[in-house]
Amino acid sequence: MPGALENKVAIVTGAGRGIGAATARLFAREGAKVVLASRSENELSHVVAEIERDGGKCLAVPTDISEESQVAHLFSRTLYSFGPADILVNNAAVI
Amino acid sequence: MVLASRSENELSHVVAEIERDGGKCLAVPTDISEESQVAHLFSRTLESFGPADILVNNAAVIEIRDFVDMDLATWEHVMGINVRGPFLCSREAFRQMIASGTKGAIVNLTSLSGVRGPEKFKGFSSYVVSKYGVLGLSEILAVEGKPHGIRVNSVAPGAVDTVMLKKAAPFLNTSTTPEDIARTILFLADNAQSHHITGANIEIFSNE
Repeated sequence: MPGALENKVAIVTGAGRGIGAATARLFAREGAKVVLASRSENELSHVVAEIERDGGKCLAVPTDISEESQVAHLFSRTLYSFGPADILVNNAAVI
Repeated sequence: MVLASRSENELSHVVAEIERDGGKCLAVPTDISEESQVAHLFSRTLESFGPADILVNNAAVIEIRDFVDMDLATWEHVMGINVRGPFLCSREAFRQMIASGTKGAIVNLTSLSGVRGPEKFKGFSSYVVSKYGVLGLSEILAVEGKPHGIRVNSVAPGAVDTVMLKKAAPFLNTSTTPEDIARTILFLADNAQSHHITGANIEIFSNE
């Protein structure tokens, strides 16, 4: 059965842990090509490893979303690797 | 009365009116998005009149721009005046009121653009986000002010007959005047009238 997000391109910010990581894993299981953004390259690498182990397609782009140039880079990397984004989940936040 | 505005020229007219009517006031030209200028506003207040009993966070700007054309400088400008300004002014007011034991009142001006429900207008993204920020600031400052007897409430007008309305939404007609809103602000600022109210937001759907 095809996933709900088969071949969709999804960007998830704050994807290193918590709700962002869970969302990225779920979207990948549903067939999306997921771009994971987070300031922490280290945290991203663990989530990427999990998604790839399960046969999902994803890309990690270390990003500080408060920086205009880094956000531009995130979207150009997405476009270059998977095509235009279908879905954006603005999850990253600090408290 | 301490009047703050970036425009010294506009302040001078209001000061002249107040003094003609026998009122006591002081104008302090201030860019409320600048921490040092806000500190100066409050120190001038303290040395001239004593600690502030009331703060009305009214100053705001609006910039109309389709979201896709929004540039970072415009976004930051609106957030600077509309959110950082009330944050900085409220913080100074809290410090002054707490240090002097003043049971103060803060009234924040948000907008029907800054609450869930009323129709939102294309091009208003920075303004809408900033006014939601003011609503959130009011809600949390009511909590933080409670142990000190500081009340924090907000007013959310819709269309009011002001220069800002003519700039931002000339398609809206209203008979609500700045004086109407001023009476609502007075109610929330006056401990005698509203000592029992904190954390409230008065949404003003004009009766027309």
